[in-house]
Amino acid sequence: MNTESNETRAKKFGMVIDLDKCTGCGSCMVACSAENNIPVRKDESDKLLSITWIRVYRITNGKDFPDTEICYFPRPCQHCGGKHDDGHSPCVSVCPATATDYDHSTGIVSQIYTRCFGCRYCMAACPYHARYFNWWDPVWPAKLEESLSPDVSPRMRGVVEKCSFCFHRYQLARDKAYQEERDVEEMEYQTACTQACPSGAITFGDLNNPDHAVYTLKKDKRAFRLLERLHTNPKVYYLSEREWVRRAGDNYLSNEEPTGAPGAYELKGKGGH
Amino acid sequence: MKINRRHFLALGMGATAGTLLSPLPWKLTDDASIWTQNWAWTPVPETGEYLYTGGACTLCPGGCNLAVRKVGERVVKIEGQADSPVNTGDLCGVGLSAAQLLYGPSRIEGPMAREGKRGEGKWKRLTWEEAEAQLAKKLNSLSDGKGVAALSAFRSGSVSALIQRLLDTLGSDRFLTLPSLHDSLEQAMALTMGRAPGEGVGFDTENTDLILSLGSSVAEGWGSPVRMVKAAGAKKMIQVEPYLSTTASMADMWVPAKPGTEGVFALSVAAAMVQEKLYDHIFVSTATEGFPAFSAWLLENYTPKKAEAVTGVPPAMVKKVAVAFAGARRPVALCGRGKGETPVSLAEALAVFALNALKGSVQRDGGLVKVGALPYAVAVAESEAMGEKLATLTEKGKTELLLDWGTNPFYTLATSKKAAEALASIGTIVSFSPYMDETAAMADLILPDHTHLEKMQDVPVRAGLERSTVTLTQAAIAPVMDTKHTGEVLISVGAQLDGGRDAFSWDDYESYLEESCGEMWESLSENGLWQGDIAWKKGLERILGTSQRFTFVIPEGPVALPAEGSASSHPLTLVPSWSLRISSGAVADAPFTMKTIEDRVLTEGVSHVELHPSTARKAGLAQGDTATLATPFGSAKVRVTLFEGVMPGVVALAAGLGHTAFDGFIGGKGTSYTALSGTMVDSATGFNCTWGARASLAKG
Repeated sequence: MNTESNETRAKKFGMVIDLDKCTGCGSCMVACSAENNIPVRKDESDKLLSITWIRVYRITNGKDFPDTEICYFPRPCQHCGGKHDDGHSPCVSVCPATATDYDHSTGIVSQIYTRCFGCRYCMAACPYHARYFNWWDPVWPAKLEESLSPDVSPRMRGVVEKCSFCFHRYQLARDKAYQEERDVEEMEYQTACTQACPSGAITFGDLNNPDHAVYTLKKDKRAFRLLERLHTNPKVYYLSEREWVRRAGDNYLSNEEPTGAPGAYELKGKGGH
Repeated sequence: MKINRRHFLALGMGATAGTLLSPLPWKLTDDASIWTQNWAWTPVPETGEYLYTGGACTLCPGGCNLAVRKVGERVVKIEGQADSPVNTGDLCGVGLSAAQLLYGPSRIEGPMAREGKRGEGKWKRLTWEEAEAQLAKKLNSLSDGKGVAALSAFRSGSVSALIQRLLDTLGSDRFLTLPSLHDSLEQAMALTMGRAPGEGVGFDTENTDLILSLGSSVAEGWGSPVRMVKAAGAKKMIQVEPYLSTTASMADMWVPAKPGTEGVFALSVAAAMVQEKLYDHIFVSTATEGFPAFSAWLLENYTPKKAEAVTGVPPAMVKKVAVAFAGARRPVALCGRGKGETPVSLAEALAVFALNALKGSVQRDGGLVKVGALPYAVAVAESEAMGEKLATLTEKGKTELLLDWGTNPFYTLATSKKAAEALASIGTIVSFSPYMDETAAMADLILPDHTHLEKMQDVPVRAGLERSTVTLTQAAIAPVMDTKHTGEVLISVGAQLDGGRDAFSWDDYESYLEESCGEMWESLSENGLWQGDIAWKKGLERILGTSQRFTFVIPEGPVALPAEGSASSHPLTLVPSWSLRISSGAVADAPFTMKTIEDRVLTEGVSHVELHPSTARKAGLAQGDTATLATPFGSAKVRVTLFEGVMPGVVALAAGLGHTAFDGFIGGKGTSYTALSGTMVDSATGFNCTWGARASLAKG
C-alpha cells in the first residue's frame, strides 16, 4: 500500500489529450514555440527541418465521401518511462552523452543542450518523432531576438531538442512553493500548450496524485496511448469515443482486435519485446 | 617473431581496451559538444522578472483580451487574459504569435513616401511633420472631396469616427469597412425585427444546445474564434457544407450540400418544419407576422423534394435535420460561410432568420439575439449603400485618393485580376499599416500606426457575441519603430485641412479617446473591457421569455447566387477551406503560425488543392501532381492533394495564403484564394457575396 503523502511521493507528470475536443487549431504549437524560443525558418513547410516540439498531426478514417472523418493528434514528447516505468525510455537508453535523462522525481525526460553533441541516436530511437535536430544556428530576423524568453536557453547548431513539459515552469513553481514551505499546486504548474488550448482538450498534472484531474482521466475507458505495444510507457494519454481513432493509436493490423480494457488499452497475447 | 593474425587481433583488442579505460573517449565527446556549440552569436536573452500587462487583440474581429508577458522592456509572450468573458484565458495561434509581428521583419520603420514606380519598393524616409504636412497638402489640393475614399478596420470606434470626420470635412461620404456577414445579418434584422442604428446581431451560443451551421467554420474561426472553438468542442452541431472541414468532422451530422446552396437548404428545413408541423406554434402565432404568406411561399418553392434539385441533399436527410432542430430545446441556426468574412445574400440571411423564428429561437437564451448599439459619445454615422460604394473602389477612375487603416484592400478586396488593376490605378494611396502589407507596398505615402501592443485604443467587437462589447488595447511597451497612433495623425492632419480646425480641436488622441468612449470609458480604462446589458433579459422580456415581434419576409433576390462562367470551360467548383492556423484577414500569419500550416496545404511555397480521388482521376491527376488552377478571374500553379472528404467535382483551396508583400517568412507562399474568387453581387444589398468560383484544373 502506498502510504506516502502527496508531498513526498515521487511525481509523475503527464498529459491527457481529449481528441474529440481538439479542433486542430494549432494554438498549442504556437504557444509552445513562443514559450520555448523555438527557432523559425523561412520555409516552414519542409517538415523534416521545421521544429515543433508539439506537432498536431491529422488522420482520416480512410472512408469515402461522405463517410469520411478526420481527427487531429497533438503530439508532444511522450516522456516515456520505459518498459517497467523505470526510466529506460528509448532515447535515454541510447544517449552516449547523458544529454537526455529520466528524472525519477518528476518522470520528465530532460534534454541538456550543452551536453548533446548531435549524434542523433535518440532521434532514431524515438518511435514518436518527437525529437528535432538543429542543422543550423537559429537566425532571429529583424528584432525578433527581443521576444526570446530568458527561461529557456536558445539552442545552437548541432544539438537535438524536444518538448520538456515546460520544465522551467515547474522550476519556477517549485521554487516558489519551497519558499512558502508547501507543495506545488495542480494549477501552478501547467504547460504552455495546456494553458493555450481554446477547446480545453489538454489536461496536465501529476499522474500519481489522486487529486489531479489527469489521475482520473487516464483511467477513462476512452483512454489509450500511442504505440502502446512497444512498452514505452508514455505519459501522454489520449481520449476518444471513436474506435477508429483508438485503433490508429497503435497501428493495429486489420485482423487484430484491440482489447476494450480500461486505461492501458493493451493488446492481449504477444506484442512488444 | 612472426606476426600472425592472432597477434594482430590481440593488439587491436588491447588498444580498444586501453582507449576505453583512458579518459580519451570522454574528453573527445566533451570536446565534440563544445566545438559544435560554442558560438558567440547564440543569443542569451536578458533575464528579469515577469510583468503582465493587459490588452486586446485586433488581428481579427474576435475581440479577445490579452495578457502580455514582459521581461524588462521586452514583450516575450502573448497569452489570453484569464478573466476575459470573451476568451477566458485562451487565444488562437495568430493572436499568440503577435510578438513576432511586433518585432518581425514586416514592420515599417517610420513614415515614408514612395520613390520610383508604384510597388517598386523604393522609399524616402520622412519625419512625422513632413509626412503629415504632405497628406494635408494632398487632401487640400483635391478638386473634389468625393474622390476620396477611406477604408477602416472598424465600423465604429474612436479612430473610425475621426476618419469619417476627415471625410466629412472634405465632402466625401465614402467611409467604408471590409464587408462581412454582419452587414447582411443587420439588413435582415432590420426587415424582420426592426433595427436602430448601431444595433447588431448576436448568437447566444453559450446557452444553445444545438448549432445548425450553414457553412460556418465554427471550429475554424467564425465569429470570435476562441469562443466558437469552445462551442464546437462542447455543443451538438449539424454542419452544412460540401467540404469535410474540422467543423463538419466534429459535428454530430454532416450535410454535404452543393457549394453555395446552404441558404436553399435552410429554406428546405424550414419547409419541412412547416410541412410536418414541427415549428413552435405558440411563438409563431403570438409573436410573428407574415407567417401564412411565408409558409405558403415555402411550400410552393422549397419543399425538401424541390430543394433537392438545387442542394443535392435527399429529402430524408432534410427531414432528419428538421426533426433534430425542432426537437432541440434551444437550437440556433448560424450562417456566413467560413469565418464570416464574406457577406451572404440578403435572401440567405432572411432564410436563416426565418428558420430561427420558426423554432422561437430569437431574442431568448441560446438563440439569435439583438445586440445593443455601442454608446459612443462621438459616434460613426452608418454608411448608406455600402455595397455599391465598395464596388466603386474596384472600378477604374472612380477614386482619386484612398486611405487605408488596417484593411489591406490589395489583398482582401482584390478578388480578380481586374479588381487588382483597378485598385492599382487609384491616384494616391495612403496606408496607415504598421506592417508592409500588400497595400502599404503599393502606397504613395505610409504613415505607420503602432501595433496593438504599442498603443491604447478602443476595439469595438462585431463578431456575433451575445452582448455589445468593446475592449481596449494597451501600450505594453514603447513603440519599437518610429510609428505614430493613427488617431493622433488624423487629429493633426484634420486640423491642417481647410475648415478643419474646429472639427479637430482636441489636444491629443488620448483626451479625445476618453471623450469619444463616453460612458464606457470608466469600465474600459479600469477593466480593459466594456459590455452592455443583455438586451433580451431586460424587463418584460425576462418575464415573458420574449417580447420581440418577428416578421417573416419573403426574400426578393436569389437565395443561392450562381457562379459566373460556363461548365464546359470550367467544369469544377472552387471553394475555400478555412483554418485557424492561417489568418485570412488583412494581417498575415507570423513565422510561428507558418510553422503550424500542414504540408498537405503548402509545400515549397506552392498551395495545395484538395480534391476527391474520383475528381482527380477524371482530370488525369494524381497525388502530388503540379497543376494549373484556373477560374474566370485568374489562375495559379498548385499541387494536388487527394482527400476523400471533398465532394466530387469540388476543389478546395486554403484561404489566407498567397501574400505577396510582408517578409520572406510570410510573403510569396502559396496562392491567394481571394484573388481567384471573383464577384457574385447580391442585387438586394450590392455586396460581393462570393462563395467560390467555377474552376478548371489541368496538369502542368
